[in-house]
Parts: sequence; structure tokens; C-alpha cells
Amino acid sequence: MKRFIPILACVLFSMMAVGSDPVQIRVQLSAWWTPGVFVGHQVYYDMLKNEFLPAHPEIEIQHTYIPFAEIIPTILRGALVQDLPDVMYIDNPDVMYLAQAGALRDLTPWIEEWGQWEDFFVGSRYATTMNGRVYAVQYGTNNLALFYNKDYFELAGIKTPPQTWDELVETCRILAAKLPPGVYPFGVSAIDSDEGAWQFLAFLWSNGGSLLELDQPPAIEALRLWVDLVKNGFMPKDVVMWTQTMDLMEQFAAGRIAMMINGCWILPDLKARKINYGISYVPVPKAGLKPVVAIGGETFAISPFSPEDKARAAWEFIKFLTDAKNMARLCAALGYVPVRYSAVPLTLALNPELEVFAKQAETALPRPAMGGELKYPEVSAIMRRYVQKALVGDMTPEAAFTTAAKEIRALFTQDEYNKYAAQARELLAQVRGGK
Amino acid sequence: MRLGLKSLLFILPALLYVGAVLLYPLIYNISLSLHDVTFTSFIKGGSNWIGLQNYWTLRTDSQFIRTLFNTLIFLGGSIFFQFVIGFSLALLFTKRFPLNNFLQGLIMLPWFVPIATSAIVFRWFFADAGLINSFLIGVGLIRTPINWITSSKLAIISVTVANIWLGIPFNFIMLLTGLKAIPGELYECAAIDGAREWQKVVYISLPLLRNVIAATLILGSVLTIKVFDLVWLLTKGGPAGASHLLSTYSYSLAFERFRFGYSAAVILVMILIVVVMMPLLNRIQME
Repeated sequence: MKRFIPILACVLFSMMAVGSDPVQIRVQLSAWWTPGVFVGHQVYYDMLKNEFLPAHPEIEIQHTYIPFAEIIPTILRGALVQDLPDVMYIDNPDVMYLAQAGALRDLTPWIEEWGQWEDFFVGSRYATTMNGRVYAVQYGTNNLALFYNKDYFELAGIKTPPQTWDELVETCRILAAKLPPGVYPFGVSAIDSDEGAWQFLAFLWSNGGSLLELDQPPAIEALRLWVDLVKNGFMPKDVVMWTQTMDLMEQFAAGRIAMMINGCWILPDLKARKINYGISYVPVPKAGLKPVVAIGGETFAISPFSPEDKARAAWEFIKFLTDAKNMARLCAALGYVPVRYSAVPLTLALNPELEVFAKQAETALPRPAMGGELKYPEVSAIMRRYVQKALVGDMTPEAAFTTAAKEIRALFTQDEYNKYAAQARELLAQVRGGK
Repeated sequence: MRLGLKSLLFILPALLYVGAVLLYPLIYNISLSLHDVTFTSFIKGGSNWIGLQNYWTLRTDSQFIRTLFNTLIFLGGSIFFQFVIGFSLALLFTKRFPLNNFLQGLIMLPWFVPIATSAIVFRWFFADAGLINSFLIGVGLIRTPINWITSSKLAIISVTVANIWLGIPFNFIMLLTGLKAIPGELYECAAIDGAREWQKVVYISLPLLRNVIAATLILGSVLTIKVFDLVWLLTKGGPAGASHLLSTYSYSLAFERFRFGYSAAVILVMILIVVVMMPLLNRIQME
């Protein structure tokens, strides 16, 4: 009799456990999303708690966080042992080769079932599709703009932010004379990671240059702009060390630089810093040209190794976040532009500051398609290394980019190279209106 | 002692452990370096066999030559200065003076601070608008900032200086312990015979410390050649690869450019350097 009760308890308990097991999915996000790090991300947790989880009591979510730069190595390791989180957070240019390597689940049947794919931006659909199959869904896009410190502008007597490259250099000159010592007129992020490359692309592409043809004048002119800014002391050499969020934004918020090129994702935090800032389009080479920036923003993808019920739950999660109204609210709070045509007006109504970014997003280009598709990581690595060499003065812009172009050409066969170079030229011509 | 079955069984667990943890990754690494491994073939398999081509490419890779050069400067500079400064401090701390123990604790601090924190603080120190430049400009020693970590010539020096700071506590404590074990009578005898301070160090301390010095140098070398996080967080191997060490270069090749086979070849060069270095260092102990 003494042993009966514990045994009965065990049996009853195990029966309870078997009964209604909620499906637990692992959602892996970048460390920026850790609760409390960034103001804007709180809305994601609120939406989950107040809307998604109550509507889906059978789903449980477990979050893991990894630093942004570690996302690819982590997915790599997971793919090797066939153990990946059910929902993965992936930067859009990485979707292509992750899909090629078999690390992402083919979502095409569910996308077709959903029937809302046409509402997504063409560029976004392109970025997450490979060989006609869809592997990820983008929840928002971002891009770059010129941020300027209105107080410094007033101090220097500047009325309008620079719109062209010449105006940019002129504005720097005026600012340099009037700013207190130790404050630089301009700053970018030229770090040796894709962040640095992505910043440079805003200048390269706006001038008609191509990643695969760096030895041509448009590319060299873009590099010369940056190099001259450093040579004239308008931009510190430290830019080769700066990331966009941890360094560049901090320098701007602390009043150490008067203008910067940065992205809309910093808006929620910049607003909290009480700095009097303004936003303007990325400066273009000549008046009348359109700024051409790269498509930013991350996507959600599902592990191909998840059992069917977890994959389904993961899909419900993704559908929830990328539903037009939810995407609009999420993006407005995060400082992103939604990638659905129907969601853009909603977001702009909630956060009018995003207008410059929304306009630029219309003509933004996907990086892999413009840089050799699967070989884009190497192309980017080569380009940004030579950008750095020119910035620190080791090589002239011509020498740097001529060498870079040679190394990039060596990555492809002649046929591949011609195909990708032509593709890049065509895409660029489409958005620049044939200029 | 004959290696009978019983003896074999006793060492079997250790053998298995060594095999799994040391041999298997090494063999896998060698295998990687003999194939052309892309992102896709890394996960899905089916890499092409290219034999020693990765190693052949190393010869003409200017970034690799630069990296070798950097690693030698880093290794040599770190070990030499860590040892000299650590030894000098250890000599000092064998004497009695007020606050001796407290100051010993302070010297050990660099060892306890997480490397990530140290790296970020050093990044702030060395920046163009950082603490060191502000101080030097404020005092009037220089007019324009020195590019400690944004110059391709100085970057490796700055990284080495940061590593020296990090490694002093280790050398200090090893050598201090060794020095304290030397009986004081030896010094007294020498003093009676008219020996000066430097003679005491050279003729008494150094010879008796031989084994401790060998151990310190060997451990120090192995720890130094492994250094990754300090350099990665401080300069990311930049600018433009000017401060890459073998460890950071192979990481960037593998996880930024996804050239896994080539990265494995670089790592094997690093292992070779260690394998060559060890017997040389051991000889200090042998005599």
C-alpha cells in the first residue's frame, strides 16, 4: 500500500503530460532583439504576448539570441549536424546561398496557399526566391540616408542639407571651419564586413558603378569621394573601424560628427537620445539623379529538418508577423519600411520619418544579383578590403580598384562573369531610368 | 615495463579521449585542406579533391605572407616584452615594501578582465579621437592624431602592445613564484663576496630559474599563438588585413568568404609553426 500512491501519482502525471503537448518552436533572433536592448523591439514582444500566443494556445515560443555576425557560422554548424532552429532570422543577401546549401525549407507550397505573395515588393520577392522556389519571407526592409545635426547646421549657417556630392564636400568645408575641435563634419561605416560594403554601395550604384566592374570610372569616382573626404580631414580614418549602430550612431548622438550615412533602424534609439537631427536623401553625384541603395532588412526562414508540426507552427508565426497590418505596425516601431505595397501607407501614417527610406526602397537593388549571385560574399570581401586600403592611404583609388577588379574577375569563368556583369548593368539601368 | 593487456586497458580511456578530441579534428582539418570546399559542399558534401593546391596558392597570396609576418612580429614582440617586463616586476616584488601585496593584486588585474572588455577599451584608447591621441595632443607632443589602429603599418604594433599588457600578469606570477623559491642565503653569500645586484640576478637567479623560464616561455607561446578574440575585436584584422594573424585570417576565410579548404590550409601552417617551435623551446630546459 505504501508504494501504491507514488506509483499512482506517476501514472496520472505521465498521463497528463501526454495529453495536450503544446508545440514548442525555437525562434533564433539576432542579439539586437534581446528584450531591453533596443526600444523599438518591445512591440514585437507585445504583439506576441497580446495577440499571437492567445490566438495560438497550442504554440509555445522559445527565443535564442546570437550576435548578428555569428548568424551565418551558427546556421552553418547547425546545418552540418542537421539541427537548426525552427525559425531562423537571416539577412536577405544570405538567403540565396543558404538555400543552395540546403539549410532552408522550401516554402513555395505554403506561399501559394497563402495567396498574398503578389503584395510583396518585387525586389523582396526576388531576394528570397531561388530557381523559382521561395525560401524565406522578408518582414521589412531598410536602407540608408543622410542624417544631419540641425544644431551644428545652424551654428555654421547652413540652411539645407547637401543633395549632391559637390554640395556634400562644400558643406563639409563650411562645417569644418565652424565646428568645435574634435568634431568631424561627416562619417560613414567602412568596417571590413558587409556593413561597410553596403554603405559604399549607396555611392557606387548612385554613380552607375558596378561591383563587377570596379576598374571603371564610375566606381573609382565613388571611391575617390570617400578618400578625399578622409584626406581633407572631413571624415576620420576611424571609419574603417566603425560599425553603423554601435559606433557611427553613437558618435553622431554624442555630437562628435555632424553628418552621417546611416539606416532607418536606428531611428527608435536616436529619438531617445534627444539630438536635434534631420534626414535627407543619400547625396547623388549630380542633381537630377536618383539615389540607388541596396535592399536591406532581414527575413524569416524555416529549418528543413523540423518535424511537420513544428514547421507548421513556425509558418503560422511567420504569417502572423508578415500579415500586412502587423508588418506595418512592426516596421513602424522598428524603424523599417514594410515590404508589402499595402502596408507602406499604414507605416508612414504611424511613422512619417520613414518617408525618405520608403521612397528609396522603391528602387533598391538586391546585393547578390548585383554581385555575382553565390559568389557575392567574396566579391564584397574583396571590394571592402580595397576600399579600406584606399581610405588609409596605402593605395590610390585607381590602383586599389583596378587590383580589386582583377581579383573579382578571377573568381568567375569568362561566361559566368559576362552573364553576371550584364545582369548587374541591366538591373541598375532599370532603376536609374536608363541613365 | 612491458605493455601488456592490463596496462593497455588502463590507458585506453585517455587514448580514446586524445583520439577523439585531438586526432579527429586534426585529420578532418587536413582532409578539408586537400579539397575545394564551398559553402554548399561543406554542408552537403561532395567537395572536389584538389590535393595540395590550397598550399600552393598560399605561396602567391600576398595577404598570407603579410599574415605570417604579422604573426611572427606578434609572437616575438609579445613573448619578449611580456617576459622582460614580467621578470623585472617579479624582481621588484621580491623585495619588501609597503603595499607590496596590494600592488601585486593590481598587477594581476589584466588577467581577470574579460578579453572582450579589454579589446573594446583598447579600441577606444587607440582610436584616432581616442584617449591616447587626445592626451598626446593635449600635452602638445603631437599635432595630428597618430593612426594607431587605422594605419596599416602601426596596426600590428598596437595589437601587440595590447597583448603584451594582457600577458604580463602570467609571466609575472610564474617568475615571482620561481624567484621566491630561491633560498635567500645564496644572495647573502654572494653579497658577502662583493656581488652587485645585477650580478646576483645574472649568476644566481637566472640559472636557478631555468625550468620556470622554460615553462613560462612554452606556455606563453602556446597561449599567444592562439590569440584570436583580442585581435578580432580590436581591429578585425584590419585595416585591410594589415593586422591579421593566422588565427584571424583563417577565421575570416572560413566564415566571411566561405573558403573552408583554404582556411584549413592556413590553420595547418599555424599548427606546423607550433610543432616546430616546441622542441626549440624545450631545449632551454634540457641543459
